[in-house]
Amino acid sequence: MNSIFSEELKSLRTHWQMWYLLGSQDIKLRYRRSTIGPFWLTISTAVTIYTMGFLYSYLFRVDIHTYFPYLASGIICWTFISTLVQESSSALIESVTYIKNQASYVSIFLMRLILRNCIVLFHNLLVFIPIAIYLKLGINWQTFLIIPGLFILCVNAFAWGGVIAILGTRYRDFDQIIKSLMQVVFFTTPIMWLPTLLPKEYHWVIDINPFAQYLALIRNPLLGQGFALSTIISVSILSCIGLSFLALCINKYKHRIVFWL
Amino acid sequence: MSSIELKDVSLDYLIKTGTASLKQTLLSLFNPSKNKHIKINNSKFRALNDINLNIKKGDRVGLLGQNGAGKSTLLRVIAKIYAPTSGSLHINGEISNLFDVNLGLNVEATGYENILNLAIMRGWSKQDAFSIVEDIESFTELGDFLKKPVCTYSTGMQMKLVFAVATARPPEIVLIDEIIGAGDARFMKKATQRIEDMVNKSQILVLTSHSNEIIQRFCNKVAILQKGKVIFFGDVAEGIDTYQASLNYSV
Repeated sequence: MNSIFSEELKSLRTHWQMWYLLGSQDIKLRYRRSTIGPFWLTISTAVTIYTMGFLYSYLFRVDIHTYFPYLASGIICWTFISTLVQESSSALIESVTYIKNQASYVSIFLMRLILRNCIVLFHNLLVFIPIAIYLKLGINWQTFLIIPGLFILCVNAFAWGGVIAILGTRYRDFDQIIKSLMQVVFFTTPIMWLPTLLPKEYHWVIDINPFAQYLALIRNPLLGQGFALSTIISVSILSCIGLSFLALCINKYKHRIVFWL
Repeated sequence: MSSIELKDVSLDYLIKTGTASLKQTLLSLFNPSKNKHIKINNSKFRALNDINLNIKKGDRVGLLGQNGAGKSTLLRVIAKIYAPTSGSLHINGEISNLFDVNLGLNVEATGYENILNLAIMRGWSKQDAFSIVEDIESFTELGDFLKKPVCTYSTGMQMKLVFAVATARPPEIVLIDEIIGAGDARFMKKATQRIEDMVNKSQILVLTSHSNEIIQRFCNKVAILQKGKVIFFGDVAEGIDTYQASLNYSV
């Protein structure tokens, strides 16, 4: 029974050329025939961050030197996470021609999505560099925690994304439900607002929010901070739950996916 | 040694006549009486029924049957796109199919880039892809067009390219769902010749076709499907006669 899922995991290695091709091709196609190509991503993120940074630091009355890097890292990371979640629900639907015409693996289409969004993330991270230089944030060893942080995020994107993809294929309105949920999550997660603005007795709102923990995986290294123990624990638990859910879904429903499409 | 062995294989198609909406599913779960108008009756349709087939090296099997008899479904079970609902399937050998030869095509990329794309989506390595380039140059006769984006090609040229890649490496097992032709008569002749070459180098062929001529040309065995069952498996001439007779009978 476990073999279907282990086959899926094995395909990550054996079929890497396939998902690498699909993922990188998605970016190439999206920005075809434009001279600066994917750097449009960098520009649009930069515009959002720079305008919001000035405005909200006044609105919240926070020192711009603390607020700017906080907001920038938050937005960059949130864009990555929320796009992954939202696109997951159509990950299999967009790959219908492959699934219906050859023996294929769910993991290939999940990796296509993850790779594509990692490429977008790397372009968006460029926005952070001038901020870091201007505010002299510097680089310490904790900055390099971004590598394991990103890796764990990708594992979660694979696990939870896979579950969402299977549900999204079965129930076509799942996509809309996810979209509206992510709106709510955006406002309840400390992306634009600082946790210090929230009274101490309401801090549990942040603690129980898995997205706040995911966000910390990239934001903290960018701000030169390490991970809190609570982040490491909750993210590890989330990864385990996610992977077991995925194994369950794939073992049970993989063969039905082609009929749902 | 390639072989395909199907033992008591049955396949149910899931047909969603009911709802594909999570909202409606939940509503009817919580309040069945009020939501009677929402019918959740995802039904099943038995497309293949207890199929037993033993295909060995050297067999070129033509599948005959009326529309809806299960020919394409059977091919897709062998291609491992559909998993059998019951029964077992054993396949030895690398399978390649010509169901959709366009998989991986990126019309914005050049012909040469697309040779790589198409090859990788067929599961071949980069080295394999590079080794077929020369063959494709000579078969397609596209010349300098291969350096241009595929969106500048005519339909026929695009067809030539994807077809050339799909048939460039003979696999051990070839699956073909109808040989449909586009393009001029000369290309059709060349294409059929190329399929024949590929089939000759491969060990097993399974093909569906409505044309007796194609079956006679490519196959040395025939399987007749009727309502998801194999009612005949054997010699070509006898198979075609049996099939014609069954058609006349049912008309």
